[in-house]
Amino acid sequence: MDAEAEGFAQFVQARQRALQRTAWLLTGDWAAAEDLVQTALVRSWPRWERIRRRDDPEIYVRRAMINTWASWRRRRWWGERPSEAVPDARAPGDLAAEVAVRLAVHSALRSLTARQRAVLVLRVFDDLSEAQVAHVLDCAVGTVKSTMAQAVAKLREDSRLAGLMDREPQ
Amino acid sequence: MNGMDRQLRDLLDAAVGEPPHQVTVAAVRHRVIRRRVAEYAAVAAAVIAVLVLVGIGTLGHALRHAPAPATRPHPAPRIITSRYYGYTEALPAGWRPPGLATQRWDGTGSPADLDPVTDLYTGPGGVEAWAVAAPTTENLATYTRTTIQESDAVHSCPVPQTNQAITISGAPARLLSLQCPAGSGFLVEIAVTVHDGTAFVFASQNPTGTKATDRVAFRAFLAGIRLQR
Repeated sequence: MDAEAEGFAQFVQARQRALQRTAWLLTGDWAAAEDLVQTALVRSWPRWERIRRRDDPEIYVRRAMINTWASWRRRRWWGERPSEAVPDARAPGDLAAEVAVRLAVHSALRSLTARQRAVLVLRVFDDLSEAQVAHVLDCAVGTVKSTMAQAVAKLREDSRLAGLMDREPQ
Repeated sequence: MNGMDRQLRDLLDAAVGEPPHQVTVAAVRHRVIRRRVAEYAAVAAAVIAVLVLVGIGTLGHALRHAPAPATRPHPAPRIITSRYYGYTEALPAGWRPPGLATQRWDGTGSPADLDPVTDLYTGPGGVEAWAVAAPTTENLATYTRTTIQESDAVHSCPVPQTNQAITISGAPARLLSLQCPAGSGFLVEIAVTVHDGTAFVFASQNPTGTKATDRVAFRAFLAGIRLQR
């Protein structure tokens, strides 16, 4: 294996879990999350050496992931619609509290627009800076700030989520 | 991160759980190979079709005329027709199209290589080119200024180092050359033309910087463009 392929393999091994978790928050489905991460990596691999030299590879892969997700949302017939009811089946063995959190978060994320959801996930869950989020989404930092404020304001209106946050330890 | 953000992060973390499967390099490699096989198969099919047509033509010619002196065969360039943007590209040697746009550009912003609205091409030595087009009411001079402003706003590109008059498919065009971001050493060239009320933007970048071969490769790419009437 040459150095480039080895570098790519190390990246995949080290970051696949984090990328999949981000992808789940975007898609709400593990199969789609895995597919999304694979697709972003497939797009990135042929240019890996250039990406590595030019940019932070993870930022590049996340950008590919967000772009792919956005195009899927526009093209696929199962494009998501905001909904009160979450269609996911309950996994056997889940504890009630875990399920409640998962359903509440899933439902709250579905109430956001695609861009609001992407900004929230990248900024809060992945802990990217506003400048990094702006780079991933190819928009201005001011847009990230305003979108984040809108997303948080919308989540504050979600009573189920607010209830859970009240219960979270400070 | 403030308290609300921290609480949100904890909630998101709790909701996500663990992925049921790992994404492996083997799986990614498998998909890359499958994609390349599909691309090569398409190229091979096109080449075979061209060879068959050439063969039929040659056979017919040979049956009608005496044998002509041997000539060196020139491989026919692969012609790419843009799905959305009303141009064709006769790919020069060493160029290939890894992905055409999956969505039409709305004319705003400054799309980059991986944007779903761009037709993407890769050339020799890692040169990359992409194309977008959108209706405009502006003339070439105004649209060129708009392009420079958008590149600055979106990608922090400086004022172009050069701004030359060229032609694309016979239409007047401007070729801008930038080090973008300023001082980064990355060469970005943007060719702009306005034709029948449509603005075409062809851009190129190469991380190796200002090598003359990069510029030559992009000129060859631009020479292959035909704007549809």
